[in-house]
This record gives sequence, structure tokens and C-alpha cells, in this order.
Amino acid sequence: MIAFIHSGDLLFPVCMKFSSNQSPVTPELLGRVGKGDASAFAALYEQSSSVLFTLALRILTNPDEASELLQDVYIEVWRKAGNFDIKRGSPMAWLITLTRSRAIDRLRASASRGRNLTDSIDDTSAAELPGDSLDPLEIHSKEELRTLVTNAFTDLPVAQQEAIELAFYEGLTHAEIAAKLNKPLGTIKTRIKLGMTKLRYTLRPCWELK
Amino acid sequence: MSLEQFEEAVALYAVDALEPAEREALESHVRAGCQECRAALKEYQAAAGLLPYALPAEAVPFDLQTHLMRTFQLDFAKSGEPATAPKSLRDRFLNWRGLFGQPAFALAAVLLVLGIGAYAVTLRSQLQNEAAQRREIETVMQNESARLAALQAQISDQEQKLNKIRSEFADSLGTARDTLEAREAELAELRAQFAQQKERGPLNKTQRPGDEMTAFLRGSNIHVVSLSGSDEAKSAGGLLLFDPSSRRAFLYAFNMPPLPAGKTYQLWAILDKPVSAGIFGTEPGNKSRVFIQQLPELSRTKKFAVTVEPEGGRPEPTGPILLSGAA
Repeated sequence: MIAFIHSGDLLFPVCMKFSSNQSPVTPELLGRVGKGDASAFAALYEQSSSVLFTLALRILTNPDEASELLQDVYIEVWRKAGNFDIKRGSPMAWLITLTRSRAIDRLRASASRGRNLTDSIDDTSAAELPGDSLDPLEIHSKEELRTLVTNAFTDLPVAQQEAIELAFYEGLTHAEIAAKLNKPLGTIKTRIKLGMTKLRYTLRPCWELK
Repeated sequence: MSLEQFEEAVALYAVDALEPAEREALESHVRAGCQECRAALKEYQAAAGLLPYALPAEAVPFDLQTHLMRTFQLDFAKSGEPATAPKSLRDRFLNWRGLFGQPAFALAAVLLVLGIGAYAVTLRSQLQNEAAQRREIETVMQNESARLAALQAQISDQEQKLNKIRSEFADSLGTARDTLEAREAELAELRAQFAQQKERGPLNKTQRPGDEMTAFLRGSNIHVVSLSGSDEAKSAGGLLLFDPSSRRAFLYAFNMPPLPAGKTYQLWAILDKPVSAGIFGTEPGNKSRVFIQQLPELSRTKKFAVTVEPEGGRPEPTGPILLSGAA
């Protein structure tokens, strides 16, 4: 059973403060990028390129393709950051969603499959449906966050990890995962549901209700 | 979908695992105002958005930054270049000042600075590596120089030893030559004595002591065997004169080592096996003279040898060989 939180709440990260030599990817920073602030873009690149490249490489598995994809993402961010709507979510989550969606699209295109996720940041993506700012990077250093998330994920049963990874990094639906693993549909749904629920509660200290 | 199904769908939606129809149904449900699902989805999406942080971080390729810089420069070239060329210096200055205000130009500049910084770090690292390699090579060269010096010392030492051996060999050769000359002199003396005896022979027909020896030396078929000293008696030598027809012989030996008490010299004629030809001692001056009346069968004798044996001699040689020579 999912524990619901009250509507209209904004979720804010808790506890740790960002180190002085790092600036989080805030909506304000993205706003400055949108206005053509080169130093803001440089800060955004410095803060986001590592995790975005890692994500793209995990999905595409080819460094050249991942690099090419990230170029497209950053060029689009540079040219169209002014169109970013904070209601869509935190800038970092948006960048991750954008990178993942484009990488999965490329993966599917190379596999001659349909179903595009996000073609442009101008689109209103279903993946961005809830909106509202929720950005752990506002208070966690990247290293702290990596440790926290890695521990939370590796604590999941391997079967749950596998199902979530197949969905998130390979863009498979639960039906496709069930077919791939030769398991009943309900089993796969349950694995994803249980795994994501545990992550939701384990990682909740990363944010809190305002 | 039931509410429970929506609750489950929210978690799957966050990782994009729903089928298209399910996605649309959930989106409609949330847009219709289900705040519970909206709030849950917000947290699930936040958790899903953190998943990439669980991946082992990969190094971002340097050429990504370079390519972005190039793209922004092109962007600037397309959008930042004035339509007409400025007419005056002032206009040009103002135009350039305008360029600095262009976001694309500024971004390109920042990326250029970042690129140069990264290049400088790389260069510094390379220089440090090269310095470390140079130090390593210097250390290796020092070690090799030390090894070379040690080898040269060894070579010098070996050369000294070789020179010493050469010198010793030259001394030994000189000694051998001296010995040979002494033997030749002894032989010449013996031959002279022999010739004198031969000359005197016809004049002295009366049988006196030693006549038997004289008669032997007068024989016309006297054979001479030169005996050389062995390692035990390097300076010793000898001559064995024998007459195969009468099977008599005369042995003359010189520089013979003193005989230990209870020992004697024994002459052997070596046929198929050694056969004793007689025992003898030494005279003053380390010389030995012995007249042998009956040698073993000389026609088959291959070699003569003198050994040191217990007093009275032995049927077979047991002591060291002092003299030997081929028949």
C-alpha cells in the first residue's frame, strides 16, 4: 500500500549542505542559462555532465554514442533552457529524464522500435506529469548522494534490481520484461512495485515536506 | 483501472514500465485530480530520478566539451555576426564590445577557458610523468654504470690472473727446457763414456771386474730408451740401454728423489702387463746405476717404467711411477 502525501506539497531535501565548491543545478541556474549566461551553463555542465554521461553510457553502452547524445542534450538545453518550466520538476531531474528519454529513443530507433518518449524539451512529457521541485542535489553532495542511492539500490533483492534496471535503462515495459525473463506478468509488476516502494521510503530522507 | 491498480501503476509509471494504454489511463486519472496518486508519483519519480547515481561514475570524454565549444562558436557565427561591416574604428570597437555581450560568444569563451584549464592539467600531468620517467632512466643508468664498473674490475682481475698463469707457464717451460738440456748433456756424457769404453775394449782383453759391463756396452745392437720423470719426480730422468739379443740392460737414472726408509725402486718392462725387471736404490748425487742381466722378452716390450715399491720389490707395481718411456 502506497503512503500518500498531501496534495500541493513541495518536497525539499533535508540534512546535508552542499559543499562550497559545488553549486546545485537550481531552477535559477537554469533560468540564467536560458538567458544566455555562459558561466551559468558552465556550472550546469560541470555539475551534471558526469551523471548524465554515466546514464547515457549505461543505456547506449557505446561511449561515442553516449557522447554524441549528450552533445545533443546540452545544445538543446543551451538553446531552449529559457522554455524550462519549473512546474515540470527540478532541473536535475528534468535533465536526467531528458537524457534517459533521448537515450531510450535512440536505443529503440536502432532496434527499429516505435514509442518515442521525449523528442524535445518543448514537449509536455508524460514523464514530467507531477511537476513541483524535488531536488536532492540542492543539499547533498554528489558523492553523498551516490553512496546513499547505491546502498539503497543494492539493498534490494537482485530480482527487483533486475526488473527496475530493465525498465529504466533498457526501456522495456513490464510485459516485455516478463517475456524476456520468462516470468508471469504479475511477478514482474510486483517486483517493480516492491522495489520502487522500498526506494521511495529509503531515499525519502533526501527530501522532506515543506 | 481500480484504485489499487492505479496505486501499482504509479510505481511502474515512474520507471516507464507501463504499456501505452496503461500510461494514458494513469495520466488521465492524475490529471482528473487524484491528489494521492499525484503525490505518490512525485516521490516515485524523485526516487527513479536518483537511480543513475547508483551507477559507477564514468569519466566524461574531453572531446565532448571541445565539441560543445565548437558548436557554440558556430552558433555565434550564425547569430552574432553583424549584417554589414562596421565603417569606423569606433564602430568596430563597439561591434567587438557587442560581441563580448553575445551569450554564445561568452559561453564559447568560458568553455575555451575550461578547455584550456583541462589541457593545462593534462599537460602538467604529462610533464610530471615525463619527469618521473627521466628520473627512473637516470636511476637505471646509474645502476648500469655501477654494473659496468664491477665488470671492468672483474676483467682487470682476470687479466692479472691470466698474466700470472702465463708467467708461471713460462717459468715451467724454462725449467723443462733446462731439464731437457741437462738430460741431453747426461746423454752426451754417457755416449762419450760408452765410446771410450768401446775404444778401450780391444786393448784390454784381460777379464777385470766390470768386464761384463764393458762387453755389454761394446755390443753392436744396443738400444736406448729415454725415461722421463712423472709428476711425482718432474726433474728426474733416465736412460735405459738394452741389447735385445742378450736381453741384458743398463739403467742410468738421475735426479731421483730420495727413497723413503723401507722402499726401493723397481724397473718394470710392460708387455701385456707389467713384468718386474729388477730393483735398485740410489747413489750419492741422487743417481742410480744398475746392470740388468736378464730382461723379460724385449721384442714385445712396449714401455719401461720405474716405481717406488716396498723393500724387496713386488710382483706387480703398487707404488707411484717416477720414470717412464716407450720402448
